Amino acid sequence: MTTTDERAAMMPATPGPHGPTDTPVADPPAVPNDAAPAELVAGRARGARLVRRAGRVRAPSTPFLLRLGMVLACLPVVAFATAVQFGIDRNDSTVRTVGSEATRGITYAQALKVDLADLDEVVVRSLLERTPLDANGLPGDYNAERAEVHESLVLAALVSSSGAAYEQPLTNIDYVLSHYHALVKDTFAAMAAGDTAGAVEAYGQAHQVMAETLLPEADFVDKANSYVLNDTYDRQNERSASTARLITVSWLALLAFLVLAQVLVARKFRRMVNLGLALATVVALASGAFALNRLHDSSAHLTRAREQAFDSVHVLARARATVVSARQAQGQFLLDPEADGARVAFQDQVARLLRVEGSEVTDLAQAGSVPAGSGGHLARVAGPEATSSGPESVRRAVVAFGAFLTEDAAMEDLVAAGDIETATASYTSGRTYAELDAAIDSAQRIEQETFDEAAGAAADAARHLDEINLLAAAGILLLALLGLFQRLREYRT
Amino acid sequence: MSRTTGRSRRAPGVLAVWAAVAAAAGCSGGSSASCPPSEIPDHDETTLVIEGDGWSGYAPFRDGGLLDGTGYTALYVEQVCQDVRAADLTAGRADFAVTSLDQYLLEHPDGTLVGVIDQSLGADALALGTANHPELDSVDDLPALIAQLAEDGDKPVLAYTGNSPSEMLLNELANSTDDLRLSDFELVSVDQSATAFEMLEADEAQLAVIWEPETSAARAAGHTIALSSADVPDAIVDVIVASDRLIERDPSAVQALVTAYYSTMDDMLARPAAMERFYATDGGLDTATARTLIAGIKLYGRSDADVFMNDDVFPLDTPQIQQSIDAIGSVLALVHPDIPLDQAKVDGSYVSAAVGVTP
Repeated sequence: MTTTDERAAMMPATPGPHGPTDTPVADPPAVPNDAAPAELVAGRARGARLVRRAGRVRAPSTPFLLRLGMVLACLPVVAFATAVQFGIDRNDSTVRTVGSEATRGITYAQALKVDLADLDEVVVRSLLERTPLDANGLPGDYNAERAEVHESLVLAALVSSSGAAYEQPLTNIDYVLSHYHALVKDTFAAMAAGDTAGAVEAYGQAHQVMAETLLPEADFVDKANSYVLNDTYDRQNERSASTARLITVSWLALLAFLVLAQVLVARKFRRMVNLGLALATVVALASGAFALNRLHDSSAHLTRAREQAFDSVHVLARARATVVSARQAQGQFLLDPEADGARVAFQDQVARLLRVEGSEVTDLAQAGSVPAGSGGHLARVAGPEATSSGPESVRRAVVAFGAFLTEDAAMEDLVAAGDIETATASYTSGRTYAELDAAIDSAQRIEQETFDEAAGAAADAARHLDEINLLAAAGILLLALLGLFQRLREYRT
Repeated sequence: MSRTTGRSRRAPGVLAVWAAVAAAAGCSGGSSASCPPSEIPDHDETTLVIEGDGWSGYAPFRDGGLLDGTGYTALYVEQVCQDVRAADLTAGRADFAVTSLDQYLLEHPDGTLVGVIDQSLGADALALGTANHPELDSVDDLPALIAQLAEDGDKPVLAYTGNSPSEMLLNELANSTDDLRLSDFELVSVDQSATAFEMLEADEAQLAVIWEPETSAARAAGHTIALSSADVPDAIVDVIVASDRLIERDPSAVQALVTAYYSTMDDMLARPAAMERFYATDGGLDTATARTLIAGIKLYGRSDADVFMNDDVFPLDTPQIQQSIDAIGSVLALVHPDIPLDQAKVDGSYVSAAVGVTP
């Protein structure tokens, strides 16, 4: 086998564009000899030699091109693998924040709020029931609930991010709770001393601290976590399109490179298919489609978790705390029927749960009907625009709310008739309250399960995608290199 | 007249154009490069430079006779850009800045809070475009509107004035009510309240955060005022900030200004008709508009200011100003996690001393 150089040496010295030639190249523009200095003539001769030498520079050899192809193959593969890894990292971070961190923060914040509301309700119920006091001058139920509040506060602090938005309200709650406990202790001390008026007054102050400081601060912890959740989710929505574009572009670039390499190799070696390159193309095609599909699935599951399930979980958690506050207002009314503040507070809580312009809420709730234009927590999960995954369970919660309101109206009638004892007995039995609480709890559980399932599916969709991506990238590179190396070896032999 | 870009207007045309240009140039975004430097005339050492914008609440500081009889002279310099105002205070080019508490926390100049001017109690509000959407007369109607627009892939437009009390109100409302989730809306930042109101009127926005006199105008035009600054008390507070350099160099100058300001306010608060005329003249408003404006804000006299600055408030047992710093700072920290709340400095002693001075 003769080499290119040997072949070139044997070729006749005929003029032509590709073969070696002695044909003189075009001369520089003519300059009159008598006017040309000696340096100019010498320079012109050097220039002519250089141009002739340049005409003899050969095109890159095939082995060189194959080696270059092997080096260049790394670039699109690395770009594709990096783009996919970038998309996976973004997706994982969002799934982690939306699926667990922020939602866990919201859950603990709501638990804290419910526990605080429960604490206030326990006080008023204990006063109405004349519950015996423990050695520390407080009822046993209160001590137990207080421990729960403390635990919730610690949990909320543990899962919250750092920064004033989270730390300030939790610090405030921690500080103000001591005032609340002191006022509650004064309340029970006055009651034990037979000073009902003093007890009512002290409890009024304690309740004010709860309603105006502690519950709003707990709400703010919830809002701060909600902000993170919404912000992360909205950013992910904005970025997911650009991430998909980035992956698609790098994927197409890789495929284009592999196809081009296949075509060039086929032209050079007159073989239709290079097995290594063909396999690399198939793996690239499959891995890109797989990655895009998995990331899209993960995003879709996350949307379902966030937009359908978690909103309902969140709203129902708020509804639960509101119901506890409504019950506390009922108890405070029975404690001091002359003061109308408790009735106003009760109506405020009712409006937060469900309000319908120009209609009687009790009747609609009993019928389980929430028309368009209704407001409040229950309207958000049971109204026409609601997207809850357990419509029947939220409807049951609405019906239970109707029963709760009906019992409250009967209680108010009893108080108006002067039968406070029967009204108090009805309150302390807490039948409709327990049913409402259980109904909301049940609806919340269903929504939580839907959320957990969707968030889990979002995590599962992208699980091991990073390892698969790295393996695929390594495989594509290896196959492409093998394909080119095979030709290089054939060329040498 | 503007805060960063405008509240009640003294010279509406010129300032509105200026405000629009400034906002478009990114002034409200805090880039001092796009803000003109403050035009501070040459002055002697007894002249106290006060920087602020055209907000009506700052009108007493624009009164050339504010410091008469104190041995000092007041020089009010209008600077609409908050970051330039803060930089001037830090550099000692200005002796005082009048600004809102949230902007003080965001810009954190080398200055100390020495007094409270006013707080919004209804003047800033969220209006629903009921005139164009008769069914939209309550926040409870928002879910239906959101769902209706979502069918076409759209969101309701909410117009507000960026980097102004409107933005603060929007954040506060979103954090204190259950019915407003900002991600449900397309938020459009505009240069001033009047623009937001125009968008509401033209149905280019279905909701708008506006301030007086647009709040009254919106109500009169049949729109619904759904929520207002009255729902989030202590959230939009205007304050007097003294340069730390001045406090170190000449604390009696700080005392002179604080005392003179509260004397003026006490005098005005005692004569409501005269106060209306004063604010009407300053803002180029008619008396009725000035009355509406005053009704939407709480103006502080010296005893109320003393309570706000110095009295511990149960159950947090800190003065209201500190509680407002913490509350506003917590809201701001959601968007600006690194906001240095511990750098906020408060000195209520000047107001306390002013209380002891016989008017």
